[in-house]
Parts: sequence; C-alpha cells; structure tokens
Amino acid sequence: MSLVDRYVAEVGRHLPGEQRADIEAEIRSNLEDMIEDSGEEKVHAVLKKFGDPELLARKYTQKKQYLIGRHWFEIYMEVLKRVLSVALPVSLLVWFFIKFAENSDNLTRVLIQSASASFNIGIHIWFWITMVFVFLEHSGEAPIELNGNAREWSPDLLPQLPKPRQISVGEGITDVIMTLGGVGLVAFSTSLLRVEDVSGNIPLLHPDLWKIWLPVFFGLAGLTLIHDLFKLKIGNWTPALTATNILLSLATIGYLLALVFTQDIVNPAFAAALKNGTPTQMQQSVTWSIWISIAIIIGCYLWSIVNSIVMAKRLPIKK
Amino acid sequence: MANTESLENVVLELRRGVIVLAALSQLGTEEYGYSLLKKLADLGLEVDQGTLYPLLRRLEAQGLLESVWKLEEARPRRYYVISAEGKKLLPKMKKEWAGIVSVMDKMLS
Repeated sequence: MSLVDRYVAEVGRHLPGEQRADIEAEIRSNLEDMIEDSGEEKVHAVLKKFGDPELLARKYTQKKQYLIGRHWFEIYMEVLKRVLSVALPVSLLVWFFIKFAENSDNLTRVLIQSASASFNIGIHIWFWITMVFVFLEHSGEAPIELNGNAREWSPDLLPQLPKPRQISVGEGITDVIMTLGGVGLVAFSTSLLRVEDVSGNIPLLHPDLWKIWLPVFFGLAGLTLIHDLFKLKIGNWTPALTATNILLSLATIGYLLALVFTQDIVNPAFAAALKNGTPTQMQQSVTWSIWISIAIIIGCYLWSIVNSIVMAKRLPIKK
Repeated sequence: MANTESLENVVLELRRGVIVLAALSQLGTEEYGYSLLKKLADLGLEVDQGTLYPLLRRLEAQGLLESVWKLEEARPRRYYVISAEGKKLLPKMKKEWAGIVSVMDKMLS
C-alpha cells in the first residue's frame, strides 16, 4: 500500500493544516474502496484516475496559497524599487562616513562594513514592505473565482476608467513609507543611532534637541504625511497640491538649515566614545556625515519643488 | 484530433453542470464517496473522482449535505446524506432542470 500512502501524503502536502487530516482520511478511504473493487494489482491505474495530487488538493481548498497576487504585485515591485533605490545609496553613504570615522586607516574594511550594514538595512526594508503588501492582499476580499458564492454585482460597481495620473500609486506609497521611515528613525534614534560604551548607550543625536527641535521635526513630518496622503489620493499636481508641496518643502529646508547652523546636532559624548582618533576629529567627521546627509535631503526637496512646478504646468486637461 | 478534443471539452462542461443536481437527487439515502460514484455510473453518469469528492465537501460546507464518519468492517467511511436545507431546495432545482430540458428540446429539435 506504500503507493497509496505516498499519494495521500502528496495531496496532504498541498492542503492547509486544519483540514489536512480529515481530507487525507477521506481520500484514503475512497481510494481503498476503489482499489478493493478493481483489484490490488490495479493500484497504479486507480491512482492515475485520481490524477495529479496537487490538482486534487487545489479542488479541496479555496484559500489563497500565495503571498502577493496579481492585483498588488506591480505596485509592490514599484514601491520596492523606489524605496530601495533611495534608501540603499543614502545608507551606504552614511555608514561609510560613520565607519570611516571609526577606522580611517583601513579603507577596504570600511567599505565592506558599510556595504554589509546597508545590505542589512535593505533586507529589513524588503521584509517590512513585503509584510505590508501581504497584509493588503489577504485582508481584501477573495477574487471571484475563489468565492463559492458570486458577489452581488451590477454595472454600477464597474470602476471608473483610471483618471490620468502624474503621480503613480507606487510613487505615492513610496512617499508615505519614506516619511514614516524618517519619523521612525528619529523617534527610535536612541536605540538605532547610538554607540555602546562602558557607561551604557550613547545616542548620536544631541540630547538637548529633544526639547524643541525634534518635536518641531515631528510636527513637520506629520504635516508632510498628510500632504503625502493627499498626493496619493489626488494623483496630479493640482495648484493646491503644488502650493502645499512648495510651502512644506521650503519649511523643511528652512528647518534643516536652521538646525545645522544654529544647533549642535551630534552628541559630544558620542564622538568621544568612538574608538579611534581624538574626540575633536571624531566630532568633525560625524558632523560632516550628518551635513552631507542633510545636504542630500535638501537636494531632494529642491528637486521636488522644481518637479512639482514643472508637472503642474503639464496638468492633464480635465473633462 | 482537434474535433474530438473540443467535443470532449463540451461534454465535460455539460456533465459538470449536472453533477450537483445528480448527487443531491441520489443522496436521499446516505452514501459514501465511492458508492455514490458507482451509483451515478450505474445510472449512466460517469463522473471524475477528482470532481465528485471535493464537490461533496463543498455542498456540505454550503449546508446542502450532512456527513458522518462511520467505522465499518473494512475501513472508516464518510457517509453523506441530504440535509433539511437541501431537501427544501431540491424540488426547486428539479423544476429549474425541467425548464432547461424543455427549452433545449425545443431548441435542438
């Protein structure tokens, strides 16, 4: 009977856990009935009649057996590409400066360390974005062909023809994720951006910043998030959206410039805790890496302003 | 070659449509999977195992059938029988079927 055992096990492999034992028992019982009837020597033929075990299992289950289906896959890939194409170079650069500050005499090691740290960040980003889309896929209703009962349908349910969009869904979602990522990085900076020392954890950011400057940052980020959501919904650079984009971008640029020129961003204890070099050197090196990151961010905002103005002039004509 | 294939496909589609009604009509007394398969075959309706067995479970999930495991001399078997809900719906289904047959008769004659 080993052939039957193997067949039943192969069907079970493709069944969800909670139904597996029951369906396996039923298939086995049906198979044995049929074998008894046709004769033991016909096992092969009987199994052949039952057909491909994977197909049989699929007829029993109506559950989705994939993580991300057709509906979300394209958007998922676009978001992934956009976020990684920004996050990886930036994190590579930042890590390069941090590692360089720690250990400036061994360039190869610095390169390898910053590359592997960025790779780690990339894996995290990939994982969490995937999780978001897995949730979206599996919280929605099942596609029609998997539902036993057809849903109530009328032509009124037909989606509108997609309106022309200047800002793709993927781009909009990317902005939301980037804003949330920035907030998360700063909000958890005491555990993410830090060094360990005999006296405990030393955060990168100057503790004084938490009094006024970081709360202001969260305020700005909150407004940016609202703007991002509207941008995702509207999908075009309408005058109102363009205006708020320019205002918010200018406010953020102003904030960052004021922060860089009037405040000590880096915790003095942080630089002192790094292993090599004199504290003054380290302080300079870390400060430089922060300045460069902020310069990149400001560059992005300037680009966003120019882009939104140019796109606003090419607004698709409304009917 | 192509002709026999498309003929087979049409026949398969036609049969698939009537299996639900055929199974419900024969489950006034309880049957297990293979006995129902043979009963349908004896009456002249050849049904694929891979189609009939999952269908029985689906009908049970929809509340049209009830099932129970019984331990018999040879092996445990799952017996299916029409439920109260199924009994209520069967006459309506039969009426639908009679309607389809008379329309198709008219159309094909």
